Amino acid sequence: MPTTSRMPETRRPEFTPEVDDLFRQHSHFVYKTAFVVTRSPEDAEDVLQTLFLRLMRRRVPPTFLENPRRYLYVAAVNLSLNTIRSRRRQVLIGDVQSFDRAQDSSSPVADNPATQRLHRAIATLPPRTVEILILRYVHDYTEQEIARLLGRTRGTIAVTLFRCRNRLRKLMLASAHGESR
Amino acid sequence: MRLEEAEIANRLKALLPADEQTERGCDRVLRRLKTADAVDEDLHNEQGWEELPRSSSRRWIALTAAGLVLLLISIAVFRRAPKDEVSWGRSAAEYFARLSRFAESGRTVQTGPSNRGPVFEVTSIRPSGPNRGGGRGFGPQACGGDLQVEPRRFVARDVTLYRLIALAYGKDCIFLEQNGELLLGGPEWVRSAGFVIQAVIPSSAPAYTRSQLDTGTAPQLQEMLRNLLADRFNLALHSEAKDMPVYLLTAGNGASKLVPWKEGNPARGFVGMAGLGDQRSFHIMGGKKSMAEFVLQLQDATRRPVIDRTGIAGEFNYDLRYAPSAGQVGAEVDGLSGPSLFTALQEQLNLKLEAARAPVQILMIDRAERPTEN
Repeated sequence: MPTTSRMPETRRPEFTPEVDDLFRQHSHFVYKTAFVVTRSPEDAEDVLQTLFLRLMRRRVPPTFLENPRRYLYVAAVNLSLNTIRSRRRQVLIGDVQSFDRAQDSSSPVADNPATQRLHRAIATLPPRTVEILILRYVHDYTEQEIARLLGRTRGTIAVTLFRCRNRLRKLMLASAHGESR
Repeated sequence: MRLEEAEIANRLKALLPADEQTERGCDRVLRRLKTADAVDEDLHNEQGWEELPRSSSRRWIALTAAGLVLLLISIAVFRRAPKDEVSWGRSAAEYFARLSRFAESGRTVQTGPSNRGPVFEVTSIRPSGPNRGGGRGFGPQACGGDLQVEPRRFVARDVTLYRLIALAYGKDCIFLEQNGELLLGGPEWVRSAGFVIQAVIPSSAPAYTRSQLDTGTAPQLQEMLRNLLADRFNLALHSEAKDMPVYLLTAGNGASKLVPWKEGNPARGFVGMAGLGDQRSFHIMGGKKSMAEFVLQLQDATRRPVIDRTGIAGEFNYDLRYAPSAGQVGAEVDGLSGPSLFTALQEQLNLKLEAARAPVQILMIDRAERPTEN
C-alpha cells in the first residue's frame, strides 16, 4: 500500500486538492519554524511558498511520500538558515554598519539582548542541530518524537541536544563578551 | 551565565509568531500558490535576488526593476524600428506621446513580420549565464529552466530552443527528450544553450496560464511562440510520419476494472514511487482522469508513444502498482516490488499494452540559428 497518494503530478505546477491537503496539514508548522529561525514574517512566507512551489512542481525526492512532514520540516529549517546567512552576506557586502539593523529590522518582537544572542548563535549551528533544537524547544516534541520524525535514534537526539546546549552557552558567552568590549 | 533548558525554551518560544499572524501569513501564501503562474519562482535558485517573487517590499522592487527593463527594451525597439524611428535625444516628446497613445489604446506594436497570426508586442532574448539549467528544472537538461506566464507577459529563463519548440508545438518536452526520436535535427546547441526571453503579450490575446502552455492548450500563445522562433531563431522545421516502436493500449476481455470517478472523489495524478521498505512499488495514480490523460501518464512511464485503442470514455480513478522493467522510468531503483507494467495493467485494470510499430508524427528541425540581437 502506498503511504499516501497525496502527490501532485510531474511538471504541472497546479494547486491540486492534494497539495491543498498537505498545505492545510503542515503550513502552520512550517511557517512557525521558518519564523523562529528567520525572525521575519516575509521570509517565513517565502520559505513556505518556496517549499510548496517545489512540491507543486514535484521537485522533491521520491522518499517525500514516506514522510511529508519530515521533508517539509527539514527543508524549512535549511531554507530558513540559508535565508538568514545570505541576508547576512548581502548586508556585509553592501553596508557593514547596517548588519545589525538588517538583522533586527524585521524582528517581530523586541528581543532582549540575551534572546538576540541566542538567535545569532542558532544561525551558526549546523542545520541538523537546529532541526532538533527547534523541535524540542519550540514545538515541544519529546526526544522520542523527534527521533521518530527525523528517522534517527533517541540516543543521537539526546547527545545532539546536550552538545547543542553546551555550544549555545559558549556562543552566547562569547557574544556577550564581544558586546561588552 | 547559565543557560538551562527552560531558559532556551522560553527565549525561543518568545520568537514564535502569534496564532493570528501565522494564520494571516499562511493565508497569503495560499492565495499566491493558487495563482502560482504569477509567482512561479524559486526563492533559492542560482540566479540571485532578482528572481525573488516575493512579498511586500522586495516584490515591489522586483516588479519595478522588471518594469524598467521592459521600458528600456521598448526604447531600444522604438529606436531600431526601420520606419518609425524615434530618437531619445531629438524626439523625446514624440516618444512619450507615442508611448502614452500606446498605453491608452492598447495598440499592438509589431517588432517583426506580422502577417502570420499573433505576435508578441515586444520581445527580448539574451543568452543565459554559465550556471543555467542543471539541477533547477525537473528532468533532462534540455527541458530545464523556468517559465512564467501572466496575462500580458511571457518570461522564460534558462530555456533551450528545444524546450521552446516543444512548448510552441504543444509537446511534452521531457517525454520528447526521454524518447529521443520525436524531435530530431538541428545543431547541438539547440539542446544545450539556454536563453532568457521576456515578451509582452498583446492585450487582445486571451489570458493563458502556465499550465495551459505546458499542456499545449494555449493556441494563440503557442502561435506567438512559433512566430518568435521563426523570426528570431530563423527556425524552420517540418513534421513527418516515422515508423517507430510504440505501445498499443487496448481493452481486455470482459468488463473494464477502471473505477468511474464520482463527485467528491479527489482529482489527482501521480507517476512515481510510493510505499515503505519491501512494499515500495512504482505507481501510476489518477483521479478524475480520462483515457487520454492516462495514456500521457503511460507515455511518461514507458518513454514510448502510447496509442489509445480502448474506445473507453469517461473519467476514472485508478492506482496502478508495478515494478518498472528496463527502459521504463524507475527501472534504476532497486528493491521495488510488484508485477511488470504489462501484467499490472491486465490484472488491475483489465487493459492490454502491446509493443508494436506504427507511424508517429515527428518534428524535424531543418534550420536553426542563434537569435539575433535585440
